[in-house]
Amino acid sequence: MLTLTPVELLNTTAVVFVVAISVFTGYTIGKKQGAKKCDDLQVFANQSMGSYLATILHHLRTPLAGMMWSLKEMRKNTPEGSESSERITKLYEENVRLLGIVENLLASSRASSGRAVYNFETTNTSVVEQQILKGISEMSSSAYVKNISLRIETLPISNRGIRADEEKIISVVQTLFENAVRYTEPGGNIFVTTGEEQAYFVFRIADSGMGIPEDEKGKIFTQFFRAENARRKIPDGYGVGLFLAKTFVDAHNGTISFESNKGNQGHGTTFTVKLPLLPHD
Amino acid sequence: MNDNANEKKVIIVEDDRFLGDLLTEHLKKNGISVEYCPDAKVGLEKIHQAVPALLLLDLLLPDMNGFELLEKLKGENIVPALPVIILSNLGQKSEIERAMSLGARDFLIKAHFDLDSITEKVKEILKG
Repeated sequence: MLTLTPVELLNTTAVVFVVAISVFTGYTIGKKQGAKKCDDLQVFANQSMGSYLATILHHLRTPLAGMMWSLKEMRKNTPEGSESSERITKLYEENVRLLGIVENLLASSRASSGRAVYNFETTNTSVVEQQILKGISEMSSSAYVKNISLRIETLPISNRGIRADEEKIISVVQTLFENAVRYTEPGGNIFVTTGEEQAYFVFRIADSGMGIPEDEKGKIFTQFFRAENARRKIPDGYGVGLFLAKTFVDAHNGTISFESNKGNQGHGTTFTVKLPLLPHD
Repeated sequence: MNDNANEKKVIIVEDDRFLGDLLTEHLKKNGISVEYCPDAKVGLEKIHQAVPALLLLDLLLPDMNGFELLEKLKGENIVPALPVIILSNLGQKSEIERAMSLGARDFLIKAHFDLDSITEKVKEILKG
């Protein structure tokens, strides 16, 4: 039987409540506005849900910010190492985590209603590759702590021009790497490669983890969807990471795809991201 | 209007009492004179009585919102001479651009900052 701590229950309940209210409101407003076509209603509902969800999330940010400020001050004024100090630290960390959930849901709601903001710059593949490798390096301890071996291979690149929002690309890498660590057992392995393939800059993150069930592969990039085996293994999650990753890659006119359950041991997932290069001068 | 008396005074316009009290208390602990206003109408009255050294302004406020207050202050030529730091949980690019075009000096998203870093920003502007 699945059991949740009080904080996990609060998180899950808050997310479910917000999404349910938003969907109901979106469809109700859509019907009142006379949206007749199913696709119009769907688009309208998504946009309404996105706006309504964004409004609610903005309002959640305020009390959470106040709690974070307050807890940080309490931490400063409590003797280090005391029981109170440890509890306050735990509360502070949970608060930061809740804020992180709100930020992710906000980003997701903006993405689903077409309001994500991008900062595209013309750069080159070498710079993008360095940023990716730096990001992986910063996250690598999470793999080592789980005794997951990490291998990185950089294939030759020609330093061609590419238009990219580096922050969004790092966000994609972060999501794929965190998932790889999350769903790979201790003793497993993760393999990261970067390089150029024809007219694309390509990076891959392959793991030897539990894989994605065949009948759920078609939904893996859907907002708020989590595969059944992922929910069972780690109940605490809300399914926006891959949705956002695909949204960001699509905005780059790139592609994100995956293969799963085809590794040597019959399982494991490889995500491949391709970003288009600028034409030769 | 006694400019000397209000030289280092900060006015906070914030409808969330919890946040407003936290910020007021923290700034006062750091030696900064603060007046707290729970909405834009009260804030505007206080500014008309005596222009402070800095305005910390929330955007989502009852009745008159922060943008509307900023528009009024700009129309009365009080801003940009009066430095304004927006302290809000809105943070879309369009909102930030709108605030800056109305003369705001800085835009801080509450959830991304803490009391110490906000106080540092306030001190920086008061020094200048």
